[in-house]
Amino acid sequence: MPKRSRRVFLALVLSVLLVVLFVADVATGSVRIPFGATADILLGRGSSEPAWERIVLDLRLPQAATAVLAGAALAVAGLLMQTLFRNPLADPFVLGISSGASLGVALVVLGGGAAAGAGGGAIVGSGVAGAVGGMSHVAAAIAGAALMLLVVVFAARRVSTFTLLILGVLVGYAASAMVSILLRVAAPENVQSYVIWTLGEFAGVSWGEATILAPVLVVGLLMAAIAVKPLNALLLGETYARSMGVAVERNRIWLIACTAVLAGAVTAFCGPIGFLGIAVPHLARGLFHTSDHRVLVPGTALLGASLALFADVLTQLPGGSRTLPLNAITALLGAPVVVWVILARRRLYSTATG
Amino acid sequence: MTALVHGRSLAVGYFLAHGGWGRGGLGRSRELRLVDRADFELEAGELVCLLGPNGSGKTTLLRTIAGMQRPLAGSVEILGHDVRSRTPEWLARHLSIVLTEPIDAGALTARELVGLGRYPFTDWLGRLTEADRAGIEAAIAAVDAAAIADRSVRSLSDGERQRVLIARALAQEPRLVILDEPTAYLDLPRRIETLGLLRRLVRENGVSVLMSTHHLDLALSHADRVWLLPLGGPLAIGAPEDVALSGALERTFVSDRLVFDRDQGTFGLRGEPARAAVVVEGDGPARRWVERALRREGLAAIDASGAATGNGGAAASVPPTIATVRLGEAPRYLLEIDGERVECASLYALVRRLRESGASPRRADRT
Repeated sequence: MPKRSRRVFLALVLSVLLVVLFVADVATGSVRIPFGATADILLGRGSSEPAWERIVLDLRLPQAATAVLAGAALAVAGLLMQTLFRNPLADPFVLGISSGASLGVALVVLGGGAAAGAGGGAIVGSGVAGAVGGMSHVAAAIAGAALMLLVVVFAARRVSTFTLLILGVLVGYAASAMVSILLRVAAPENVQSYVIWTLGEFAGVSWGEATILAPVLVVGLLMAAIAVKPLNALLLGETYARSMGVAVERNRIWLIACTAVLAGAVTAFCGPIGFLGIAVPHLARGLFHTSDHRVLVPGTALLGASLALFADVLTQLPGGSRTLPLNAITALLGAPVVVWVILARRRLYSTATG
Repeated sequence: MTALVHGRSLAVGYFLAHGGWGRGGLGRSRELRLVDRADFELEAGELVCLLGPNGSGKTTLLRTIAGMQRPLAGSVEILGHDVRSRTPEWLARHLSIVLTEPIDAGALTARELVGLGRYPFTDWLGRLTEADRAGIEAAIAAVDAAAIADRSVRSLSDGERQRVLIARALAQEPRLVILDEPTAYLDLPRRIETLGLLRRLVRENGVSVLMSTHHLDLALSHADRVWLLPLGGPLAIGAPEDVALSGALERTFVSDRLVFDRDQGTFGLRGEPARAAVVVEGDGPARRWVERALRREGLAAIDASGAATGNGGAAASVPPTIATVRLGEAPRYLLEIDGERVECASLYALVRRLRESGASPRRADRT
């Protein structure tokens, strides 16, 4: 089977690429560390400079690991949404998950972190903030995303999938509106802090946080993996899926929950990172020449992890002490893919009609 | 023998919600009943065509029988089991569907698409066993799609895609295949082929087929029985010939402008009575086509004795004769009109000549 061996070959190439990019991500950063020294530290041979060892092991390694998991998570979540909504422009955030998380963070950050009773996100956020310290962003984002998820799941049982898509987008706008009101009234230094959060970064995640994030994302990815069969049935639309024995409503809620876990957790720890979720599934379909989710789910995860690492490397490239915003890099990488998808589809339609 | 499908006082339609969340039900909801108190049986190995005007509820009835929509009253039973009490898996093993809308199956090949039909039989990953693969190949062979099986579904023509979708439905190994207007997007030859294919599947595979269609001629010539669903009216069932003779078919599609030709089994526009007659001398297939051309011009064709021909004997009184057409060696038509003899090379020329002389009332009306 040439098709099969082609896929295995691709998976191998992508795995090697992933390892190379991982090492590259660890080897680059604002502090210049010779590649040999980085390799020694990674291989457990230690280093003459204790500071280098600390930077590589405690800062860059969790950052790269986060990029791998977050990239895979966002890409798979995007795939689920594109299949569920049968819409090539759907991404993990169409359901308003990231808007909810943003609102939660905005309430905590812009409300000064201490404003009691300013909303669900703030209550949970400030409550947990006392216990966990620097985790208040995370807790607020999770609370905001969870709140949004509740709204969406409540609606998902009652309206059609298409209505749900519109609902998700509109609820997202409402959340953004509230954030902009908060931005207008907040203190300038808090606005600055919030805006930096929205730029997204993998760097802020410590080992402590990574030990929370990683299991959550692994669970989310496994949830996606066991849904590959109904996802394939959904390629023909919900009516056909139902006629083949898919419990469509239950499956819809499963996919939404799965996406919320993946996108919500990533947004909470890394900020709202765009474009990976929309672009990677298209790249994976193009590379693997298939719509079969048994290939696409692992393929998308692999590709998403690599692209996230690549984007993270690019944020650090200039060599200075400043890094570029991650969201800018993912957008610059992802936007051409989205444009390509739109153009390719139009070409398909035009050849189909004449 | 129990029937495969049994409808018992079935009412189908929609709940019209009073605001709020629809079916979830805030407030009381009103019903829109499209079909009421329908009792029917569908036998194993039967091809049934569901006919009815637009908006009469054909699709809704099919959806209800397929268990996708709750009946407003009554029940649908398959092999004695109420479809609403069965799991989606059970239903999937007993009936499969082919929908009207074209699908966008992404990058799937035709074989992969047919393979999705094995869904109710495969493990959690959807892996295909040898038996599954054999079933897929059999389904592909049954619709003569072996040559296109490795092509992407996107690249198929409408007719090819329809065959592949039917193969997918067969791969589900159903007792009943429900097709919603499978002939809608097809040209005439493809429509005939599709009906012939379904006919063969019923005969060779023993499945039952229930399909809605707007193509009466096909339904009347291929169906074992037709179900007639007039607007708001009760479901009427019978062999095609029975419903044609009893007038049920006419009543289903009744309209002021339509007439049903019981001889031909076709509907046509109710024409104005002929204003003039033309004697047609000669015989053979050419005569039939001359009659058609004259009819379109609002002229009656009569034979030398003055009897009307080719209109199903519809003309009660014969209008004045204005011309004579003699059929010569094809394609020559000899027209005698206004004391003149004109040789016409084609029927188009003949009709033009009739119009020029003012004989055609259509021409006269317009000027």
